[in-house]
Amino acid sequence: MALRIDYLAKETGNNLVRNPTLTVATVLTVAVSLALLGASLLIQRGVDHFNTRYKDDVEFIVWMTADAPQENVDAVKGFLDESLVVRSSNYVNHEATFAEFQTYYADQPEVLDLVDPNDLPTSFRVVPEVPDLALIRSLGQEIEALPGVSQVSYAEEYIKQLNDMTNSASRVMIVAAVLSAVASGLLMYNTIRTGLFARRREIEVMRLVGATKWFIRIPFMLEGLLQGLIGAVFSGIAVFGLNKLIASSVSGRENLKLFSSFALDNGQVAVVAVILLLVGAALGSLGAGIAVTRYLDA
Amino acid sequence: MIKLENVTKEYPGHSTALVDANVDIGKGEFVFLVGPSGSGKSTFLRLLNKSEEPDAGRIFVAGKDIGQMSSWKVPMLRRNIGAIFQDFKLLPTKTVAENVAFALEVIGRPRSVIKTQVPAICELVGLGDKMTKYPNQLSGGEQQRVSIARAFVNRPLILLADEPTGNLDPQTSIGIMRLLDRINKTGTTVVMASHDRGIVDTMRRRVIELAEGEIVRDEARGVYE
Repeated sequence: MALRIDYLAKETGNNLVRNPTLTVATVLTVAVSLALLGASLLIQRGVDHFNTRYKDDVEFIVWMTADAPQENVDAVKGFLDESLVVRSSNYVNHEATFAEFQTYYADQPEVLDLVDPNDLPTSFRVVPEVPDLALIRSLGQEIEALPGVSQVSYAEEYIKQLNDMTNSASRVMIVAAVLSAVASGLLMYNTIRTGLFARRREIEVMRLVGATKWFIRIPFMLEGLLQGLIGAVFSGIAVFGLNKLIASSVSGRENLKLFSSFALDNGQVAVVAVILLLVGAALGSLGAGIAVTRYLDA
Repeated sequence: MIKLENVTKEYPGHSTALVDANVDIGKGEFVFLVGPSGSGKSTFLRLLNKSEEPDAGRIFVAGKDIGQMSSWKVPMLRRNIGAIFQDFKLLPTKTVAENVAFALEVIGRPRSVIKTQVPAICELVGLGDKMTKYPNQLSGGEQQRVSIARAFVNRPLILLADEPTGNLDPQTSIGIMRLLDRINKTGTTVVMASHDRGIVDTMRRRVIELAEGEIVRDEARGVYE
């Protein structure tokens, strides 16, 4: 009495090819919406990755004025060395600053010509003992009062700004993904409904001769599930491609070093791909399920 | 086999289709439902396989109150009730054999059973040589035979026939009635709605006459009138 596999395969296959334009449209919308979802998941993971990587790194930078005399520099160094809040600090002198400057402006040699290393402000890269923002702020204020110090900038702020930026980008993408997921769900619903209408005679006969409810339903549910899964496979490929693109545009470019953590390894992308497959399957069976319930049980 | 107790069915906005009907049909009987269009004949048949639900009263099929039946058991009920119609309801994209096999396939019968049953039933209805033809290659009478084969291939206890000769000429109708008579002789209860006076008068079976939803006559070996 069980459903026969060959019957199911035949019926589901027939359903899929009966209306190829609708099937393709449905699969593509599913793919696009899931690709958006996948992209926003990638970005979120990139941000997490980035945050853990920079958490214990430089927490703030003390900028000296360019013309600060050596005794001011020594005073700041002494202050930092004595502070219990500071774990370590590293002085970046004029030459090292110029070297960094050179890498940032490597493609604009005319800028480099105008700059004398001694015009560039030197700085201390300071790693605090604990990542406590309030503590770091009060320390920063003390340091800013010392002679020869122009400014204290907090790396945490940059990280926060970057986080805010990527968060709002991924929020926009999530909204777009949800909207297009709704669109693909509705399209799925309509595809299945069209299929039900095309097969209404068969369904009538099936009911008449005593086919069970699930026997009639399952091929349509499978059709939706399959469309969702095929769309998800496409979106998975797109997500792998996107990650490759990020990786190749980030690697080997010094000024984008900060973003290198946005390129994930294949294992992490695979997790995203699995999530997309699950969402695709859920989307497909939900759209089909609602259509079947509404039009078969009525 | 079939029992209606005070069954009433109304369609909203229309006149009453069946009023307080009480009928008892025994196993192996052949019963005609007669009456003008809209008198409730089709409703009577549709109530028996739960294509419709009564508004009041109780219906028993093979001793079971089908009003109490849970919805998942309805398919099992229908496997015991074959049905044929004026418009045959054949699937145009399937051959004769496939149309008949479909009825077995969708209730999950094994392929070995289908392979032996389908040719046998096609032979029984006189279409042994037309199994690979499509419905549009057949005459009306032949199409009705296919639909009878499909309805009977499960050996149901009851066969419901809603104007099965309504689209057929008198000569062809006689052939169909002979076939239904043969099926009835195997012990299958046949309930047939018809307004074909000639057929009813020739067969001389039990006749139940409906008028505006009411049973106005029920006699053994009756005529159409």
